[in-house]
Amino acid sequence: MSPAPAPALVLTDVAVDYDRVPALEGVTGTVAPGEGVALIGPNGSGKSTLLRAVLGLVPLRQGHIEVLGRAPSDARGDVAYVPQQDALDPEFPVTVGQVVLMGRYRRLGWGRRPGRADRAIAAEALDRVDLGDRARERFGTLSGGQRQRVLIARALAQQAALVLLDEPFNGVDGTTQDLLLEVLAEQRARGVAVIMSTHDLAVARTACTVACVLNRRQVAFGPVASALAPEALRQAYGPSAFALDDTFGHPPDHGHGHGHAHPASRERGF
Amino acid sequence: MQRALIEAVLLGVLGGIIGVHVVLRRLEFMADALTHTVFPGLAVAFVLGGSLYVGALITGVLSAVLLTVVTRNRRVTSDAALAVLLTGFFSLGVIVVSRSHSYTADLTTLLFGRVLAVDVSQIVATVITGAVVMAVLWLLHKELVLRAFDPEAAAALGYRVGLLDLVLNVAITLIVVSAVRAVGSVLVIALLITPAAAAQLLVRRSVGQMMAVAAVIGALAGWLGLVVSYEGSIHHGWRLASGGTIVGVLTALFGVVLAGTLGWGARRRRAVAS
Repeated sequence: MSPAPAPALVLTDVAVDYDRVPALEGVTGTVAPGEGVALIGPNGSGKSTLLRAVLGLVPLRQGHIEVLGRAPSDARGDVAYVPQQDALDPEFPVTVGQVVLMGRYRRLGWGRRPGRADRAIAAEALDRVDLGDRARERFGTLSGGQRQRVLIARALAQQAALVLLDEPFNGVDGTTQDLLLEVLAEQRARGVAVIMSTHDLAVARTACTVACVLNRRQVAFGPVASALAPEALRQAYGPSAFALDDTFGHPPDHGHGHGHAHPASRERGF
Repeated sequence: MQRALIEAVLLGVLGGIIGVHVVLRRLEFMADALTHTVFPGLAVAFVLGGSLYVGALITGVLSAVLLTVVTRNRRVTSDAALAVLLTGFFSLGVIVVSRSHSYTADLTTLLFGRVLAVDVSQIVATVITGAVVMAVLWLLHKELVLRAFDPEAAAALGYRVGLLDLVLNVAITLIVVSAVRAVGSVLVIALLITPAAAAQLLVRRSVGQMMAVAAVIGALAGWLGLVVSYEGSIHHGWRLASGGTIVGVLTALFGVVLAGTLGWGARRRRAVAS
């Protein structure tokens, strides 16, 4: 009997301070390979802080993080990070293809140039997000949704075992969102763990199996159904979560009856 | 004149290439601060009769390290930190020079340069410095471009962004130190910024191509500026300072490129509208 695969991520009582002010406390949980985790919480709840802690970019005041069985700083080459695309300069002289190729850099090491194999992997990643014909265009000429697709292609090109996404569906249309969810589902089927911060509870319920609810401390971490229970949402968002529950407590109704998953989601095997 | 031409063209190429990183990273103010912080090194070396290159190099590298460290501190804004360092170092240089008997002439030389007085050893120093800087930029090209475009992703991929910043700042300092003797510490910022700013108007999809275009513009300005200054001074009695004329030509070239791109943009919009 083969041993169970090592967890993609282990969080043990993680606490982070910014300028000696607690930003996040008491985060504990385990993410298995192939698992999809939604980080849920209001603005300032610590979602981005947790992602940065997993990347080893912020020091911990307390607790322990293990990424793919190693310290976060040792695992960075195997962790892909998709930042919010609106932080990037649209005038920067770089093409779509060059941005995707950046996902291969860590494997190359210092001073080496990407080779034919790297370019083939990058091209395949760009094709997967339906932008293969835009490789030579300047990154900044694309729409917000297209840029987000390019950044996810960059993460695909990295061939990482863990993918972290910071609010990947902000400013993205429905078609792009469906495509990106499909791509992430494929990655999970290959054993890649996916962690995304999002405000969209419907996406969390349909695209993820685990939710981590934060409000500067961990409110809940576990299967989506229990972690996104109304009480947990009220603790995270406050009393107004009553209204959230009515709107988002069930997947959005696309005319297929209350409580049924979106057919496209069913096709993706969620 | 031949030595001055070689030096001016070399500096135009080097300034153009490294200037692309300055412009893309929006480090114009930091680069300007660096050009001023080499001044006390120049002043001390000048007063002591030592090598201006070595003097500027010592204070330049020291200030590059200080600037890198201070600008990463979140408690002090980058601009405030740069302003403090820039004015502090520069005032130190003025104080040192003011103690010499030929204060005014010495200050003018250090502030505005004397490219026509360049000798073979200075050209050799420029070539060696330039070769080292270009080798570093070539080796670290993809890392520096990633850091400039997406610093979060660079850090997430495990690159030490602070170290990359320090390497770039020291590289900028080395070019500044080479160029300051030719055009002086006041105008050297133009050699860094103007060719790259002009190239940015022409090249939209490749940092490498932007560097090539900036190098051509810098070299052209170096050659043309020196020729105009020499011809004007010798044959027409205009007494044009060579450093100032080079920078003037650079600015004119930028103006031509800007006018050209604006005009082309307007014609394109009219074509689309019709």
